[in-house]
Amino acid sequence: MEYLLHILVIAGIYIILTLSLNLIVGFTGLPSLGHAAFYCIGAYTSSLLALRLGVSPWLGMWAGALLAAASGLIIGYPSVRLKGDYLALATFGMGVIVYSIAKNWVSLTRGPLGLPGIPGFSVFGYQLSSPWMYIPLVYVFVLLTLIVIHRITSSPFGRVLKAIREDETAAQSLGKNTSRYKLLSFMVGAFFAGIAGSLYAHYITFIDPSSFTVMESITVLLMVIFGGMGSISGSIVGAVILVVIPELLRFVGLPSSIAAPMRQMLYGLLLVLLMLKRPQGLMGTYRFK
Amino acid sequence: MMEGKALLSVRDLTKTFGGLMAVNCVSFDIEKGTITALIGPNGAGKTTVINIISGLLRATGGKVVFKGRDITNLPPYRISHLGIARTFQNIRVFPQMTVLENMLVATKYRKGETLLYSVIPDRDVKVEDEQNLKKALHYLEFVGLMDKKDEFAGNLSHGQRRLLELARALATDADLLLLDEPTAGVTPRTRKKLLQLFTRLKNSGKTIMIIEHNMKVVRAVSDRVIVLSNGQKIFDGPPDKAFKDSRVIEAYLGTKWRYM
Amino acid sequence: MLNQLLLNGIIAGSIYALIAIGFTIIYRTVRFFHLAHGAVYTAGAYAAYTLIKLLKVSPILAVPIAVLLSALLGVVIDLLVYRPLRKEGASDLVLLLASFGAFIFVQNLIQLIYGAQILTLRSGEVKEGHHIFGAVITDVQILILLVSLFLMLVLWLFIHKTKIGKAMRAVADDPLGASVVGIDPERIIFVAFLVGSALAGIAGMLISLETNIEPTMGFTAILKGMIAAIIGGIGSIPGSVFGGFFLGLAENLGIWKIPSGWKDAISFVILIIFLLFRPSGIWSALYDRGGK
Repeated sequence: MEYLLHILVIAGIYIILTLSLNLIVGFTGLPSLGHAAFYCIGAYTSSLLALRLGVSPWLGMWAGALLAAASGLIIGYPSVRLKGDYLALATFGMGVIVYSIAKNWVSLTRGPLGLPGIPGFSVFGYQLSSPWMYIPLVYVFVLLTLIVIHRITSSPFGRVLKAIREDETAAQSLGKNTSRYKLLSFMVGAFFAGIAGSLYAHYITFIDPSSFTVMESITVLLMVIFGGMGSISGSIVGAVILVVIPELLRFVGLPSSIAAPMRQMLYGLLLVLLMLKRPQGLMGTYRFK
Repeated sequence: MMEGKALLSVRDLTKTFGGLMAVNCVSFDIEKGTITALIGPNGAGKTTVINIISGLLRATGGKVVFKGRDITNLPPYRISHLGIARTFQNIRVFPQMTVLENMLVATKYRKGETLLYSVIPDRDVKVEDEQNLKKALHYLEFVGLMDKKDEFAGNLSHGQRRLLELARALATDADLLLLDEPTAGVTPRTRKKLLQLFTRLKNSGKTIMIIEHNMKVVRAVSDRVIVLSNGQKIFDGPPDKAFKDSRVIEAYLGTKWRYM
Repeated sequence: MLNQLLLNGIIAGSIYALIAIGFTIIYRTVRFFHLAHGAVYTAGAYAAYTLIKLLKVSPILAVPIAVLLSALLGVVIDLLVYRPLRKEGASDLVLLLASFGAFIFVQNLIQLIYGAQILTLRSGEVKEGHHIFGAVITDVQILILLVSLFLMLVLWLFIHKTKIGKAMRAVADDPLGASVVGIDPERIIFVAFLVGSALAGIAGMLISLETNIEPTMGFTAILKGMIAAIIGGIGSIPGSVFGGFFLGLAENLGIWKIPSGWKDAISFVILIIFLLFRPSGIWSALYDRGGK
């Protein structure tokens, strides 16, 4: 039971990640392969604030989200100059760079040793410690993300994002400062990924760079594509299914030395199959151009 | 400065691609409330001129002055804000957005398109929304696409997309419209309709510059013709004289000209 | 010390160049980033390991078989994944993502079979190297260098002197024109994958003589190969050779100051700078023939 609840918490965190990436990839049409970078920045910022300075996770989370959003300006910058596969490669590189910083800036992050003993969230002095206590917390933020992303995408602002996705040149000549919108899209996406990172860190109480690899970025992207780019309900479905399925591998009793590569193989295969057979995913209408 | 009265002045505009001179020292003025046709054989540099005016390409040399203000090499969105709109030769509607959404993207928002007010409800945004909706519907009515407003733009016919692109350009409140082959590939009926619209727009005070291959269209609507050949201006004057000008005829005979 | 670093740079550079050339030969005909090239490289090393260490096949026989297997893997990926996408006119981005998927799949398949641990192809003790110009070079390193240079020469002859090589150049320079004169682009793409993947497999084997092998080795390899190709002006074969040696030397001379943990990050900083500011590479500026 505890295990099922744990999966539910993790699924919630991935829903936030997938929704936030969908804003960038599915609604604005910018292929971003470095989303784990924002997740990483959010997680490390609020963990370090809590461990070194004793800052409450409630505050640290916003600091992490804001720092992630600020970094969205740098990590998203290639989108101003590059398109398509070149942009994908550049954002991918950004993801590797942030991962390398987490791994090699040992004096700050303790490198591969990771940060143990991260304090959990506390409510009225009572420390949340088990999955069932984290479920309401995480799902409040899932709901918040959902509402904000929904409002953004159905507003005139979101309409401009979609126009950029459809035809950036046309959007520019209709008076839209598309570079600005693209960067804002990255920043909002980064902000929520930062929140997800903070939730993850304080829930698991331990982080190390291995949670924020390139593969993590690809996994979230896969969730977006699988659920359907530009579809909010698709992101929820995509995240939940792709979190749960690999857990089944472990559930049937495969050791992790087999389950881990099988999970990755599954993701790789799914990415290939989606590109071949259903690039718009389960519930999407948009596909990469 | 001689640019006093003209709405748009182009001076010594030059564009090179690699070693190739696409536009070579082209100058002209455009008066308010006129229709000017920009013609010339394929590869003459017509679209390049429009791309530079609208900011999609940077000029190698020369300048563009609009309403007395130097707009050379400003980013396209600034040029749009100043009152120049354009359409594209290879139609660029937003295919997976409805016709109405296409229109609304073109309308101006002060607050509604800011990130903050996309999240926070606000009364001003509601007012903007209503005004812009009214404007969008007005121009859809103007081009006759009202019954298509909830269709995806990608599902429209070729001619309907041309009409939508025109309506969308109008929704930016532009004073100067740069239309790149707006009647290419449309049915004779739509072409006739477009010509009527151009005249109505001119009469309402809009200024139009049009790239056109169909000489009937040029004769029917334009007050003035500018002819480009190999990146240079070879003629500038009224349409009836253009087709008698020896240099113009030579330029067209020198290429495979099939439109005369 | 400097001579040693230069030598190390040249040896690393020759491996990077091999990967980059294979990547470029394929890129020239299909025009997208074939990331799974990195997995082919890994597969080459593991094929050699399996044949030599596990099946005790004589290296003289094992090496050609491993090369053939790598070449086939490249071709299979093309036939199963890229060709159907090409037929639909998929964009470069879609192909890149599919390639990523194929890369992840093959890499993890290898990990599933062989485990994540480090393996080694070397046997016997490490022999003392030879001393030249104050630098030490081992037999294996001499082999790597000679094989790489030999392959570059063979490849040059193949591209410039054979009929199929000339056809490949024609497709790379002008795909439409080539199809007009009756060259079947699919056949050329097939040959490109065959040759390019064989080169990746050889590079994987050569490196496994020098260092250990592990399932994730292809990631750094394709990264380095791609950066070399981009530095050289993507699509140019001489550019890739230049880019490979340039990167190898830059890394090894930079090692004086930069800790080795940052290598991947530095590579990507270089890559992003090139993508943003000089997508045509530096080779094209030095020697105006390569590039798009």
